[in-house]
Amino acid sequence: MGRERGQRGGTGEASVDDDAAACLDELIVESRDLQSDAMRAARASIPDLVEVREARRGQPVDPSEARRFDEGRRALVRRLGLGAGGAAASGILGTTLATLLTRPAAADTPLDVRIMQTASSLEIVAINAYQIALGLPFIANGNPAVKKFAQTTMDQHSQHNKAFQSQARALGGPPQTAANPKYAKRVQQAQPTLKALPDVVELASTLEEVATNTYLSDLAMLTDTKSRSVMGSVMGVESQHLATLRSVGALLRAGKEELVKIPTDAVALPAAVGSVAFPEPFEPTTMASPPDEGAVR
Amino acid sequence: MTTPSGHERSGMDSSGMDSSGTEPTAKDPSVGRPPICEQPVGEARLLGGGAGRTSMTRRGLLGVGAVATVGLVATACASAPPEPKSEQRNREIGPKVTATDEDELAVVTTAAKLEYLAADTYRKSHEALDAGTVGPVPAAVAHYVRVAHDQHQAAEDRWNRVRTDSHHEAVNEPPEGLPDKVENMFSAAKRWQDLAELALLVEQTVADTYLEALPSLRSKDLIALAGSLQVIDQQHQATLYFVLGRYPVPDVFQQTDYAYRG
Repeated sequence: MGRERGQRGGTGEASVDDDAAACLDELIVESRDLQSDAMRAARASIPDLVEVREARRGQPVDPSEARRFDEGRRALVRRLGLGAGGAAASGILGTTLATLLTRPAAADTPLDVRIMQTASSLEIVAINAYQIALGLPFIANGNPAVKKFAQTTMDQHSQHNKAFQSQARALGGPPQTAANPKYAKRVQQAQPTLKALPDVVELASTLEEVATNTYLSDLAMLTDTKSRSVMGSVMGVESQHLATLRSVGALLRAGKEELVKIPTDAVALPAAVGSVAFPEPFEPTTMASPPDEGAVR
Repeated sequence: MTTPSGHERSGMDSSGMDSSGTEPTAKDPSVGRPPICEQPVGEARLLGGGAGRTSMTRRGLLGVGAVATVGLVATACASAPPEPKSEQRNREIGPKVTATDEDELAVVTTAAKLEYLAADTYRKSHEALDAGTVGPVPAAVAHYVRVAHDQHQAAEDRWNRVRTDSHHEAVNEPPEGLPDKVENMFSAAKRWQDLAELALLVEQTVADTYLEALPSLRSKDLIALAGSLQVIDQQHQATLYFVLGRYPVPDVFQQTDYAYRG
């Protein structure tokens, strides 16, 4: 405290009883001893904490764990009266403590926001990929149905992106305006290899499958129900993009490009076209991107 | 590879068909019959000129249906090695999932009933195709009907498994109000396109119901299951749109217009 035992107040009169002063001094000494012990213990545990950090590095945040942590902190805020209107919320210390305790876990950005941001990042990759495809001569001057699909799908992804950005804002977070780094790199690497229509279909199929699987995985992680509805609504359409590309890819591999048209010749379609779009009875999440992959940094 | 419903895909390359665009063959593990292989004829065979027909049962439609199927026929095909029974069972059963409360149980029940309706609709459709009551049927359509039936059967089984794991009996009936509508459309069907439109309506109903249910579910496993099946049903629709000559992705955002609300 900095005050020597026996110091007087400015009036010169005795302001602290001698016994109380002695007690206070003892408490101060005890406090310093406790702090020294605590600091010693904390320093000793740092190597263990570093080990834990390294072990968990790169692992996705467990959303239920993050949620419980956030709820626990909010409950603590309420119990301590640090919430809005709480008696302890006033003053610098109370305000600071309340702010610290109510800040969400995991990089200070709620999971739902990061999910929306990553979804946006995937949509941006898709938009860019279809834009690249439409610039290729064998697409621009090729099969009209394929060109129409690329144009329509690009537009749909643009609207999906806007929906995810809007939802991120609604949740209090910034929208993502950048492409998903992992898949932007994949597209960039694939670009020189896009020599014919099957190459483009394969790349687009991958991106649509990533989107479908990611959004399916996201559904169970989202706590905001409006966000879940938006995600489900978009996922339903990405599913159909994927289904279409699988069918087109199969026709191309079978040498039946002439059937890639609308309306098609249903009688001439190979039998397997009836099921190639949905190889499994339950959609997996094998290619799902984790929530942080495209989150705003 | 064998699906949970027992359908094994064989004789196909990674594209889902061999280079002659031939009929995929099927093996029903429960029956133990070998893959069916026929010589290519190079053109579609009309329904009625094929091999002997067999009666359909609600389960295992694909296993017996392949013989009577119209279409471009298969070359000699190579079947994939059968999947170990333990792996089949693991994938068929999946992890134990239960409904957390009565509201979720209601969703599970509705889902099971809708899947029952879908599987039953496809079963009857296949019988109609097989009987020739709707005229010539494209091979892709006949194959679609069989696979879609098996997938909806698997979905129904999965939802009923949730019910039994939640200590309730399985349901084996359609939801109220829909069977009459389906039956009316079925009775009026004169061509395969009419049955395809009926199937489209059923798929839209199931898919939209799953989408509508998502916000109300609390169990992560149930959300994942509903979402997973929503995807498949949306993909069924894309194929139906395509064979019907329509653009396969008509909506920017999936809606809930066709959701079943009791």
